[in-house]
Amino acid sequence: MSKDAGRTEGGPAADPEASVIEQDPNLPPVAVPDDEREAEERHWTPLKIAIWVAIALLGGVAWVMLAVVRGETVNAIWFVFAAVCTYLIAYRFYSKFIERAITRPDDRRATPAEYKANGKDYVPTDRRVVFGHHFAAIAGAGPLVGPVLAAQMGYLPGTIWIIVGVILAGAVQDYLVLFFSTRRGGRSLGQMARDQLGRVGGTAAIIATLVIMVIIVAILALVVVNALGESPWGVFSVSMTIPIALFMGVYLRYLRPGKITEISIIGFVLLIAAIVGGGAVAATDWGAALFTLDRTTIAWGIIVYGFIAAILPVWLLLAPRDYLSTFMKIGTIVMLAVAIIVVRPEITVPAFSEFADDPAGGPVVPGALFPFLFVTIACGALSGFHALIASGTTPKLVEKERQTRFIGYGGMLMESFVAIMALVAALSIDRGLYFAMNISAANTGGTVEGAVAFVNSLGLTGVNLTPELLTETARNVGEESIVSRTGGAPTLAVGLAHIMQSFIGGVGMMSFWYHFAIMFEALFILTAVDAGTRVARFMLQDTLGNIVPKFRDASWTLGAWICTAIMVAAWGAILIMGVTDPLGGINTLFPLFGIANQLLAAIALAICLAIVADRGYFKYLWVVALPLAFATVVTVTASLYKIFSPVPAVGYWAQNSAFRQALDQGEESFGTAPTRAAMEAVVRNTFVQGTLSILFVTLTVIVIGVAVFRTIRAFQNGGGVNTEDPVTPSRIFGGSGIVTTKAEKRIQKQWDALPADRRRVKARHE
Amino acid sequence: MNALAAGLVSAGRYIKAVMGDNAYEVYLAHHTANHPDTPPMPERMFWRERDDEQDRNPQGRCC
Repeated sequence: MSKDAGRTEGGPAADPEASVIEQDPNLPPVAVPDDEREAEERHWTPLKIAIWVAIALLGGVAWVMLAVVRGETVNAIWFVFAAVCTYLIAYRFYSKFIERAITRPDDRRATPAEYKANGKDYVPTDRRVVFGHHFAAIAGAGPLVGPVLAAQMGYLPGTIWIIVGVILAGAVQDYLVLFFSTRRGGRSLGQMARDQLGRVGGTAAIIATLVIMVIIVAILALVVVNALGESPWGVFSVSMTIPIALFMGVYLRYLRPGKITEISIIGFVLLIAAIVGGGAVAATDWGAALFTLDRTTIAWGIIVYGFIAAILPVWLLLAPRDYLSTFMKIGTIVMLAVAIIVVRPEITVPAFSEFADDPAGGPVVPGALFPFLFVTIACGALSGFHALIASGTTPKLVEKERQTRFIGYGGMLMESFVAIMALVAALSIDRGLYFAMNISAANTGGTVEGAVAFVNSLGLTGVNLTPELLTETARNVGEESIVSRTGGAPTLAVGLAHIMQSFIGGVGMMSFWYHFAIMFEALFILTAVDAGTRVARFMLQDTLGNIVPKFRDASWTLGAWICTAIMVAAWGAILIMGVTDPLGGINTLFPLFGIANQLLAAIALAICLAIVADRGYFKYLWVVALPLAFATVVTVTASLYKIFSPVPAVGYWAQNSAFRQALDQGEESFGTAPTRAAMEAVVRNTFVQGTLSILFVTLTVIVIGVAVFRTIRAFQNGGGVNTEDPVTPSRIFGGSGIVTTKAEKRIQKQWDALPADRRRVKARHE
Repeated sequence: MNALAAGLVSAGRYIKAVMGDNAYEVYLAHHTANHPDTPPMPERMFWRERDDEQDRNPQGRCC
């Protein structure tokens, strides 16, 4: 093969500067020649056409069933078809368009994994393995919780947002951040912000990231607390994850280092034993007495645990639990998908519920459909947190630039599918039961009678909740009560138990499946809490290091402890606030979680916008501008509602002044707050929440403002500074998608035929 | 039957790669290719280093 084979005549996807890349003439091509790839992509065989027509038709029929026909009941399988067909089409056509128009990858350029290869964190890794890594890092409890809460609006708004949102916003963000970071040596989002937006924009982005991290950790912890409150079974089995993780850590450190899968399987078996054992322990008198804890106690437990876990060495607790969590993640998601396809539950929830056009929203999450649906479902549609993973960790493993589409865009589609499955699971349970579980104790009083009275008073069509249903469901899942188990996790667990029992085990297995679901959600969340605390501590150390340089010294233990304590205190305060909130906690705080996550997405997209403008691709700027504008409008509107709305359920300050006034007038109780102390708590909480809202929106407006300003300036100059790393010619080859194409196979054969000493050893990580 | 066995073996290999079981082999391959004159880290030390690196440079996990 001549050296020209790796060079191209500058097809539409080639970079202008790319023509200077000289390939080593002694090596086979490191990239599929552009013309050959183009020809392959443009070659439509009748079979290929037939397959895509079939996908389009099936997807179309599914959407018609969901959005137009809207029968009395809808089968869950239509959700699966609508989602999967839309994802396939978006992946094949829209992400390909983005690749041609914006990213324009060039496989003749080495990725940081190749030119910085060190055999440890920079390793060129098989694309399918990177996909697994990346997915495990981005997917957690978020996509499992948001859709459950949004189900109060009916099934259609959530479904449309999850699917349309991911293809036009979420996956675009993940893909672009991953690609741009890969072109920049795997730089982090914060560093890219500094490079692209200058000091003001960069600093605002870093502070916003830090604050957002704190709020996200706090609210995730709140979800766990709500799931474990008054549940001895849950408390026992989730607590057991700590000794299990410690055992795994010691095993890996001292007994059999490196046997990660082996110990994960052992850990998994122990976990199942802990779930089964939890049922037996909770049934005994001493077990019930010992492990029935109220929410405040659990919250304090998590705070203390969070601090200890963040200062212990990683190998002892965090790393082993992370392995366990990855293992569970892949397993449960596959299991849930199989169960939904096999069981195909019928869904009786209406397409749009009574709350969809109510400006005050519903009792689960307050606020009108626009903008609050779009912040309630953040993960699964558009999640800014992913930008932190897509910059930094994943780019150091990517073998070839062209693979970023499969890993970034494809990985996010996968997460969106998880969100759809969570939505289906939540929709499959009785609607009255759904509301009884998700309306806060402030309204239900936490009793079966209170819940029945409140839910039936909502006047929902087709809902006639009976006390028997509540007590029977609670008995089936092995809980004392399921009234006001807010936060989404218990609802998902009931939905999952409901689906799984008709797949394996019957009603007798429901309590196992319920606690299995609680267990994996808690596992994901505790891992995120640990890792989040550590990352936030690290960021704080770095920031404080600007003033007191000693904080940058990683070996200064006291400094690390001080920063850890500050971060834990920050999220711990919000957690305690949420747990003790007389207004119900999660429903007032969850919008903040979504807003924070989407604001981070807006920041990431703003950085992408500035990069695309600097490269001079103004014709295609809308690909980034569209999701950025939407995320900005949604989050800024939601923040403004939260700040200025006169409706107390929606606006933090309206609530604040209503309670302050009541206090001034000497009232002894007000709204859902039964005492003066509770009223004072509401004033305090709404003050904090309102202040956070103002802080978020201000920081984001600064970042977006700077990005837009830079974009306009770049437009006037016809482009801007190139912040990419210098071009290094690649010396390795790898395919780009899920399946290896004909041309890729042909080139791979040439590489395989090369004598070993001439082939630069490429750690395939496979 | 052979195809099934082969499928299971490659699925097992895939899971191990995602979990990171082969990190030392990868390091060893990299080291032999790029620094043949220096002895590589012994396996135990490599795994320790790998964990301790996470202490110094924490990685995020998503929500």
